[in-house]
Amino acid sequence: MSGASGFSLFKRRNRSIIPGFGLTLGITLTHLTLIVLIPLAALMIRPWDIGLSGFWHQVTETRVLAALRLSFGAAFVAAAINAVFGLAVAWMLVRYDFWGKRVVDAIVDLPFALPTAVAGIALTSLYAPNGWVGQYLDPLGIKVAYTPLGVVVALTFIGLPFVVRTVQPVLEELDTELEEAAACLGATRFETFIRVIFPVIFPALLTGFALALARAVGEYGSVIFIAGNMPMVSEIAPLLIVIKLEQFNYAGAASVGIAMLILSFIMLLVINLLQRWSRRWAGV
Amino acid sequence: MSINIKNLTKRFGGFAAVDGIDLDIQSGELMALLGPSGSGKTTLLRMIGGLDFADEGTLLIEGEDATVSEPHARRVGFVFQHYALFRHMSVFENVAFGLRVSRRKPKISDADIRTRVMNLLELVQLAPLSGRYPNQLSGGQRQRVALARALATEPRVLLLDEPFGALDAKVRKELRRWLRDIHKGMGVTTVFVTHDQEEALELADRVAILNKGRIEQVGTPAEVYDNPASAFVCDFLGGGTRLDCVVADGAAVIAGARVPVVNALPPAGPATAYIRAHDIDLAEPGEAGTLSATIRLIQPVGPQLRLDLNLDGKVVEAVLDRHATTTPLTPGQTVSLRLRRANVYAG
Repeated sequence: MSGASGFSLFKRRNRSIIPGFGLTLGITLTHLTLIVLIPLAALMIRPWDIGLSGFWHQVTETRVLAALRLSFGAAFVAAAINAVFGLAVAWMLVRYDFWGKRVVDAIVDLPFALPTAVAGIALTSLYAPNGWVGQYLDPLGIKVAYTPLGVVVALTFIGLPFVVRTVQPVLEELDTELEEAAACLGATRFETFIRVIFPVIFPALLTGFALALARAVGEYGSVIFIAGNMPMVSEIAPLLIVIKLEQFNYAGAASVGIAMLILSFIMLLVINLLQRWSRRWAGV
Repeated sequence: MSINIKNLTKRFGGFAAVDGIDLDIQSGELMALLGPSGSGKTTLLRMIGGLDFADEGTLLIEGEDATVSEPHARRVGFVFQHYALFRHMSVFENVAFGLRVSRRKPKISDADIRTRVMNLLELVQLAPLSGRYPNQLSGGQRQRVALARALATEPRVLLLDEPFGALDAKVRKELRRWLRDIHKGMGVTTVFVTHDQEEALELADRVAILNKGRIEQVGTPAEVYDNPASAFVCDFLGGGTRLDCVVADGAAVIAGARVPVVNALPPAGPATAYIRAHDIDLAEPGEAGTLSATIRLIQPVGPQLRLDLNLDGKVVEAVLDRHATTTPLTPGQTVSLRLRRANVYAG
């Protein structure tokens, strides 16, 4: 008896006061395995039916390369646009009080909620040469719908909330005393923004950028309506995967999928390292 | 550099945070703005610094009108209660910030910046930590960085908002002494805000006591402590126990005992007396002019013996010298008190 209670006492001493580490670790691993790792593993195994050279042949096809270039390029441009304008939106929502602020705040989340196909169709009808917006752009020689530019527009639409929602809380926490201190020390408003505010919100902006980018790379529903899907011009990689699946070219589809996976992973890794560097002051 | 404040008023909504304040601060002076929270002391300091602007009145710095000028144009250094350090910059870069901004003309060379920053860090004893980031420093060290940063631009006036408010007692005491030394060494006109009367009395050349947006009294620490101009000032500066009394024949009569009055005597009649804990002695039982009270609680605190006494149903605090008190005291015991002096205010 005394031995058993002594043992449990010994165990108690080594326990953390924060409960549930074992439980949460177990759930996390199971969940990640079932939801993420097993499907990804299946994806990784699939193309080896055709061997490494077959894989290489599949992904270096000019049509695949063009689709990958468009997917990643347009996603990057869209995420960059969102980083700039999302920051402006977040800044306005945090810093100023104005009539209808709550409505604007709610509108920001709409791209999350709207079925992407609906967004795609709406954007297409707006930007088509005879659409509300397109009819004014067309005479200027700017074609949006059925071009890579249309892809960027759709990807910008779906990515906006990511930047706004990641930057907003950081801006809210930003102490106005920092700006007052900078003003007392003689900094202009511009210098204060560049040297005092921006470095503090940059890591969050980078997170928002990465999320918007990742979302945009994988986006399918909204893009296929506005893109026109012309091979080599406005065909995105996810669509190409679907096309290959419809042609029962499963190994080819999986090859493109893996190529996207690897590229995404490298991109997110780089962003992560950049983020760590930009927060070097936060670690001890 | 002297500061002249005339009829300064600041309203937030309908509420006057600062309500027609007149105050002259001499060149090189170390001035404390003392008051409870909501008394307007921080708003007044922020208006001197150009972080808030007055609705009415004028503010002169060194004779020039600075009522509406920008903070940098006033050449003031501001130290915030929560330091407001740039956490993404090293200690060195924080201090150098004011020297690197584009408004600084003529431009200072990197070598000159380096010498000046290192001199300042030497002064605040943080030179070895110049490469650290703020979150790697203790609260006291952060506040010293904030001070060095404020001093780097060679301000005409140094403003500190509750500079030691967020620090523990020991560090606070150290920093007080050290701020005094720096002020002595540099001679820069300094205004600091505090709600801690001990801090104000210990540190300042003169103290301005604020209440509800107005100044109640301005004077040296000894003046305001010895001769509080109002019941509020007396109460705020550790006034002690408040007792009803009657003013008669040039003294205050409390429960039949005559007590000498320190301040200007109010007109004869009922009044309020404040008795400081240090001004109460134990007396021989039955001695003339003493009061009888019972001991409720005895607390030895370091060199002091603190007593809670019951005087006709009112709780009176007394502080005795622990080593000079030879008579044994026990709770419940009845003792005789002599009140040495009182501050008395009408009403």
